[in-house]
Amino acid sequence: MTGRWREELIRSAILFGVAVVLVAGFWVHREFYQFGFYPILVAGGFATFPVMAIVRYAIRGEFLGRSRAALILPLEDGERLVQRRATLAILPADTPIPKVGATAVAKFETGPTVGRFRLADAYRKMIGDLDEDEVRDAGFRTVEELRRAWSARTPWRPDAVVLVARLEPAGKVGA
Amino acid sequence: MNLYPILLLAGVVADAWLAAYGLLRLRRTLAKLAFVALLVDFVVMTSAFAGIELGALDPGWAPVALWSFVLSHPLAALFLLLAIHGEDLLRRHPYVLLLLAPAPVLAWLAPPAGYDLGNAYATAPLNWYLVLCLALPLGEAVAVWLRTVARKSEMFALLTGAVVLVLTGPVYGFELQAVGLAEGAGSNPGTPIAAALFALALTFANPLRVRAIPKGASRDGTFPPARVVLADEARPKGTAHFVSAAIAAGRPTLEVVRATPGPAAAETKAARALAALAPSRWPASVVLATASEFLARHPGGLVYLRDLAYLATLEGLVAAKDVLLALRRSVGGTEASVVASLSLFTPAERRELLALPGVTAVRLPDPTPEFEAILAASLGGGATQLLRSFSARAHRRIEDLTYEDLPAIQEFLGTALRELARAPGDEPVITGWRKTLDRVNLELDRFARKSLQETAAGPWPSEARAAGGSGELVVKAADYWRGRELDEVLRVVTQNADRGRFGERVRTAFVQAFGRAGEHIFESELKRLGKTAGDLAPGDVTRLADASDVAIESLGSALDLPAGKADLAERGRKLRSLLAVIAEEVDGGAA
Repeated sequence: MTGRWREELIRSAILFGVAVVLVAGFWVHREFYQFGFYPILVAGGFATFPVMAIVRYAIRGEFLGRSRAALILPLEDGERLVQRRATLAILPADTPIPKVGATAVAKFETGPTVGRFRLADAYRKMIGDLDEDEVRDAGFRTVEELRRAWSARTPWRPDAVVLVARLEPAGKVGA
Repeated sequence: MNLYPILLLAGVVADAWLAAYGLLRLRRTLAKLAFVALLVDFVVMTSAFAGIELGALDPGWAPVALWSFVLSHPLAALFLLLAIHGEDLLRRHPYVLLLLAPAPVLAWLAPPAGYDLGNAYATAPLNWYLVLCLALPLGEAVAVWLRTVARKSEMFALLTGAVVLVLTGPVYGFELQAVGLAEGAGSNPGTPIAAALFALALTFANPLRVRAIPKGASRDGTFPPARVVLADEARPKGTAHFVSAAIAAGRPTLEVVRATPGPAAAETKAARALAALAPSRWPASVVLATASEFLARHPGGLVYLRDLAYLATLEGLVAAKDVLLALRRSVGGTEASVVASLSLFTPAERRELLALPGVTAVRLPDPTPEFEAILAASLGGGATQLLRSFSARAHRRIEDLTYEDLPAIQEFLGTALRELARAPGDEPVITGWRKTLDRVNLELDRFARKSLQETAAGPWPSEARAAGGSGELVVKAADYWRGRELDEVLRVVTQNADRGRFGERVRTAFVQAFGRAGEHIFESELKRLGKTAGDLAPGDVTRLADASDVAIESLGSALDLPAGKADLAERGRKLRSLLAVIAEEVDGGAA
């Protein structure tokens, strides 16, 4: 929650800064305002709107590629993150993820929020190629335990490609 | 006191700092050079202007202010074009440098035409030149920003910087005159903002650190020039093999891999430069900048994207496709080539990538099943056993075997089959094994020496075998071995060597779990079993683990601290897990 307020505060501060610059611009251009109220209202509105729109889209990251998305986690993976037993989530290869480096809300597949996490890294690997450290970071004691957990969801194939997401808590985790 | 020149001087400090930053931190050669030149020009231009305004410099400095102001326009254009189009821009389109040519001509014309700083944008033909210099990169940045997916963010920063230069240059100049501040005209207060945006773009798209490698051959016979080759393969073993062949032929190669935790991989081959891609803000821009920088130094080089799937995960499939198309444009008409492995992509993603226009698609086999198929053609079911034994010896998984393992596999095969040939039997049996060994080696060599195109064309040994095409070629070596299955014979032959390794692996597990004390625990438990490390068999593991549990428990009882007891118990669990894995692997290998 604190992280969200901080982010909101930063965005508002940027927008306020833009507003101040625009007002300063109006003052510098006061000579132009002698054109009359209505022309200035229309022309000024058209000039100001794109600036605010550009800033708004830029802040949302929509000029810069992928927009933010929630990370949907299976119940067991979400639970391991909540319990701080895991820093890695092993997900199906085609799971949609937010941009690496971004902070996103992780949700259980059933809807409730797991918490806010920074997606520190994401890569693909064959599930059979995961090393001991990765298995442990995903909250499993052994490969066998991972195999059992995975088999409960989908048949175990060592050459199945999975998405490995390294998550860092960014705020309160758990409901 | 007029605050405007003071504001400009603050901008000079910012420009100078950014120039120093660019010089020290940026890795793009030509773009960096143009960036620093542009900033030095900004510093001279603004200092001269502010100095005259403040009275610190006499009006004789006006031409310096004017011509550094004029020169900043082509320099900005040159910088932006280099930043947008990459390091090989000047090699491919050297006439871009003509942008600088009108500046001295206009300087020569200056006295008769009566140019002055305040009217620079209002005096023809000087203003045509200045507007052209600003419009050209602005248009390019807009065009690339609209077209690209992979470099969207980078282009946005460059475009914004260019827009700032236009707004704070000509637009602001006219406005200053309109509001009666004519003395401010001819200065550009937005240079630090534009420079900061340019520095931001260059920083987030900074090429990866790459070792300098010597110039080499521009062709290798494997990868055709001016092409982007996409290899459809399960693991990047086929591409790695053919890239190694190209490197062996002397072709300078840039290999882009995913950065993994721990020390960087050693770069043993002189012609290979390794670039490790880590999570970053603009990974696609980083890869393109790294490739561009490398190809500028090695115009006939090879760029190998081993972990293209990583880039797609970081930036999205659309961006990965855009990177491939950008690289295709970059190598078009040159001697350079690009090869990318499609391992770890889903079938649907592979189809999308292979359908990209202008790319060369090849299908490459995983060598392990092919080795197995070649061995199976001569040795039947014993092939898998042989490869498993080899992998167990090398402490590796069978699926990790690569082309580079072939000499060691052949050596192992030679040892195993020579043992068989020495086994009691009549002359036809011995001769049969020798012939089998020769044939297997020949087939393995033939497979490994195939060119990229031959391999891609297939059919591969595994396919031929699955289709039943090699049924007639199967040498029934097992028929020579009277009354015994080949699998069993091979197991006996390889068992002795594996057993010694097994004992050592168990010892290593003890050391991994308990450190140096593990060595002592292992030795004392061996004594209790009455065996040496070489005599240990998988069946002993359970007894060894049970006996170790007792020893650990008695050690734990001597500890008062609960944390110490818990640590010991955790180490005991780790040992059990390690031993279980070893036993499982050995059992699996023997099965």
